[in-house]
Amino acid sequence: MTFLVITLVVIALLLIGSLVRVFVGPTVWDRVLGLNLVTAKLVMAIVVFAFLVDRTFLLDVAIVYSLLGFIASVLISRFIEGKGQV
Amino acid sequence: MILTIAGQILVSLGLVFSLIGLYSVLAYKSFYARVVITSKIDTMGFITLIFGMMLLSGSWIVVLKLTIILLFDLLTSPLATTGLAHSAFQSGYKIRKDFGRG
Repeated sequence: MTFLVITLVVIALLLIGSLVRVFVGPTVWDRVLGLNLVTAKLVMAIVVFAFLVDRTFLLDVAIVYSLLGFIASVLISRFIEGKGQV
Repeated sequence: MILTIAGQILVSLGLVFSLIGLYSVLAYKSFYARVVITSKIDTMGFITLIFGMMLLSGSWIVVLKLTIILLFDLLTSPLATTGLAHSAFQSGYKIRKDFGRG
């Protein structure tokens, strides 16, 4: 129980550190890279939180969020590469 | 008891991997070095943490769902970073001349 809380706090700190790359990043690709990192950290946080509150359906939320993060990252990359056309 | 200790060690190891990846992403100056770090270290930390959570869980359905999450991340994380690097290269992102320390 205490271990999961400490893990969740550490993951939250890592997520805030990944957000620095989103805000600072010189170009738009750096921001998308930071978004990718934030998505991975958030999926980890959802999994740990599902264990903490002992609800199984939160793992499905983690699956859907992973899917959404992948689609967002690939679509933004394609959008920039095509200069406005996907 | 053994499974709990092993799972906690694996989860801590995953957090350490993610911390190393975060330091590299914030410290390196070249964009492509950062892409490589994201594609490798962060996925490594994710895999280690999910394996640790598998050991911590008690039921088979949780292990099944964690396996689905793990396979999906293994499939999509290299694809996302490859698409990102391809997009940056096609759009003419400058490669730094000095390759020392990223």
